[in-house]
Amino acid sequence: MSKTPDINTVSVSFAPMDITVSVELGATILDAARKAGIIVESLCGGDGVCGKCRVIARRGLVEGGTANFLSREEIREGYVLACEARVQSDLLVEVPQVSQMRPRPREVDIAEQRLSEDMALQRQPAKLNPLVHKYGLELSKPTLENNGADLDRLVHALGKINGTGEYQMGLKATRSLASAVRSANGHVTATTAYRGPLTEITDVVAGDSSKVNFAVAIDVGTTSVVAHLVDLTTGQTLGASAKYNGQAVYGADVIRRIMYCSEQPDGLMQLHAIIIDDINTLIQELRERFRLAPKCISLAVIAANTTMVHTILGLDPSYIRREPYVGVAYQPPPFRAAELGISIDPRGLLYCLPCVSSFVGGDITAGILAAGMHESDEPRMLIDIGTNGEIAIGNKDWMVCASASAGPAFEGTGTRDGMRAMRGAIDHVRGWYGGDTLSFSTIGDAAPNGICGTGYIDLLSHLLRVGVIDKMGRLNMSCGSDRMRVNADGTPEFVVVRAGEKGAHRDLAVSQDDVANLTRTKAAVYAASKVLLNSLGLSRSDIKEILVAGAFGYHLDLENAVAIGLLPDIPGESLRFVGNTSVAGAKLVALSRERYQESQDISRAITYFELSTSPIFMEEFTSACFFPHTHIEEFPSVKIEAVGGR
Amino acid sequence: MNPSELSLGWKAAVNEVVIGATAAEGGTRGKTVKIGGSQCVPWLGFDGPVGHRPALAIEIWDCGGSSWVEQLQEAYGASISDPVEWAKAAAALNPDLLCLRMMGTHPSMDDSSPAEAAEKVRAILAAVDIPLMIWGCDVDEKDNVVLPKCSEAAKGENCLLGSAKEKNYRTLVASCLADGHKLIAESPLDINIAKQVNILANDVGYPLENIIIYPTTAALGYGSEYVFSIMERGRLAGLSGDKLLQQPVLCDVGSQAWRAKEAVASEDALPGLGAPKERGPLWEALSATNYLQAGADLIVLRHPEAIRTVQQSIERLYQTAVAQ
Repeated sequence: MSKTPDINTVSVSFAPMDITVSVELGATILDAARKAGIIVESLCGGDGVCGKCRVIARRGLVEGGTANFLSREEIREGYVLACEARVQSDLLVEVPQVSQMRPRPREVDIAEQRLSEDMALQRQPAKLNPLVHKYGLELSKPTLENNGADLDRLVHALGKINGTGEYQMGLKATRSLASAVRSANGHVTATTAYRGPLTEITDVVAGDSSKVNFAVAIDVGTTSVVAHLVDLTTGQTLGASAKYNGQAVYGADVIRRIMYCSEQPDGLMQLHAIIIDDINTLIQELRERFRLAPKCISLAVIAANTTMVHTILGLDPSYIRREPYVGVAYQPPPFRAAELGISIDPRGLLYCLPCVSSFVGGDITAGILAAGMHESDEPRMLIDIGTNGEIAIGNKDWMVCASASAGPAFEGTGTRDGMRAMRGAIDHVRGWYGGDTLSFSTIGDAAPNGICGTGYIDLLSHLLRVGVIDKMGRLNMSCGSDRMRVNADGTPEFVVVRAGEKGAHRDLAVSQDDVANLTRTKAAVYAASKVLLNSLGLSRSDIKEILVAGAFGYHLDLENAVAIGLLPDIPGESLRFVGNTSVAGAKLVALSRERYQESQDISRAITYFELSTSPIFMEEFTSACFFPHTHIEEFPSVKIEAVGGR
Repeated sequence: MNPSELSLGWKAAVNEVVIGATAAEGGTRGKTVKIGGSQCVPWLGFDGPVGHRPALAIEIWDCGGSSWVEQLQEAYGASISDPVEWAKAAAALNPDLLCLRMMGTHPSMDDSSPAEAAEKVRAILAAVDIPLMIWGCDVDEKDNVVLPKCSEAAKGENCLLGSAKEKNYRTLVASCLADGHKLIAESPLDINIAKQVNILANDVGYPLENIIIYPTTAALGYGSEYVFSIMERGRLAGLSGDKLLQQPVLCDVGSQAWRAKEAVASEDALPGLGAPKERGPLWEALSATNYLQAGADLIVLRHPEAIRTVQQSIERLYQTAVAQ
């Protein structure tokens, strides 16, 4: 390539990252950002429909990108949508914090805390029996009388600890055997990995390093990735790290990502590389924090939805999206982590928690395992509120599960001023300070710049209570609040925070469309649980306990979640928040071969209930598109409150 | 087997609702009408109390009936052009109520003012002494200014006003509360929405016990089986204990039946179906008696002949049911 500046290329610099890239004239700022490795928040993947990729063109010329989503003031300040603005000259682009996907360190802390809470976990591994075990062995010295092969003596020594078993061994490990058993006087460390009825001896090294054996348990969500570092010799969790799933640039939900894989020639491998990179970033962070060499981590266990499992393994997910909705593999065997580019011990293995179907993944298997539903005498219900609302009901004898596309409204997308649970997000609304000022808190106590899921749940509940929205979810222009206004589309919206209030740099409002989206999301979750109960001929009172999993952690206000009809109206003691059960299940499996086997059994025991073919789902959904629900008798506590408050 | 052994033993009954107020009750009506109260599958007297006879209302318009079909014009004669005279003629047919529809306020009809509408209401209340239903022209913006005035004009008369819909209920509900009227809650053939309108009205303080459900009505041959099944489902849910479906149900048969071509077409156009003079009222009556079987508590009709037929039908059904 010529070194003289090409008339058709321009350079684009990004602040505050201070990265400059050359792109062709007319490329979009989003293209340039991708090239620079800068992740600009983009939910629609560049279709120009989400309005999230706001950047400021500081110096230079751009064309387009101001048509939608931006206010007059923002356009004056130079805001453009990165996916639509085309570069016309050398350019300096400022990426405002709210548009940056990569959280800053302090935000990571918060994200970690929120996303990885698993303290409510009731179950511990039955006994420590990790999927990958390191044994410190002393092999008997070979003599003329006792002249068994090195491998025989190794298997014999393992057998003395473990009883007899079927062992297999790869070529590489076998070749290393001769020197390993001789260079430290017969003292070796043998690493064994569980492969069902067989045990693989993955590695044999000289000396005793059996006390250095770590695993990473990873929850790969559509939106977030969380990793926990676990000491396999003690069962202790040492630390956690979290980040956003870098694939989000290519679409907020799994369907968009599958489409990207099917439509782009190397789309799958691109998404594969991104998620592997995310996983490696987290592992590296943990390794650096605990000063561990890659070699020390001999196991990775992943709990992820079916589409994520496909992109992690590089399996074509195209057929998940098309009738009859079939994936490549639901119960993938363990693979050598190095084969996938995951940077742990090159001999280390990667296990995926088994999936149930194309839309019910290993995250749900992990949830059931962690919550212990499969051991329960009485039926329990697990509700995992994510982009897909997943519901499982069951006990030790049977389990059914359904998945409803709830939409990402509680995850900060699909709403005007929604954001993820990160710094500056309004996470709780407590009502009004006397007159007209809303009392709320933000994550990290920062200036508010958006509303996250728990914030919306509180907000809806309060707006209902004071009559700003009615039970149909319609904003009431005549409610008397001076925070009601008509927005540019001519529809009403309620201003939650005014620019300048508590340091907010713009108005944050909830629009009629937002309420409609949130209503549909909560209705889908509730309707799914109802249909599943109906299909089993059970009523809510037959359910011993409802376990609520998901990124809300413990931050969800139960009363408000019931008041808007997201969760069934049951006594508080029958409802338990179980936090991130996905990572909790992955850890259980890492620490116990029995639990891994259980997870396989769970995935095979679950009956998947397809909601899209259920004639009553639409009916239930319609009934649930109301606050709290058309059948108010299902919400006795809400009813009492309404009557009492009047 | 004794039929009473087949009784399903319902937990709840349809609400009893009184429309109209006599002088003793603060109004000027000569009588009141009570509907609802049944606690059985319609007309199965052995299943539980049958409740009150379904009531019949005759529909008239505030602007006269000059746009109505010939058969109806003939039936009422010259009186149809003057709402007060028409009201008197209708009352003479001995219905339980009069249903005054404010079509004259419709922007594409006379677009008459709220004050004019209120004046009509006063005049009709003065002319006849049976209980009154007042129904808007079904243009929300107009109804929201007209109905409050009509409501005020009829204050104390305990009328039945309609209709509150999921997208427009606040104004009417507030008027009915202020002026002591019963309320029609309308829904588009959807049980969920029927319940939701009731909740919404109740939320702004209106008692569920004063609501009449209007689930939308279709004429015979135009989807009446669908209406029938919606009414049936609603009734069974109400009897089973759903408080939001225990309201009496209104069927607006007249306006629908007279839109059916079978009711109005000439003998040349529909050979073999008989003369329209008889066919029209019969079509209306059959549309109505169908809904009696689904549990209709209040039926709005237009043709005097249809009213007579349905009255007889109700009497026979009632006598048979109470004898069980």
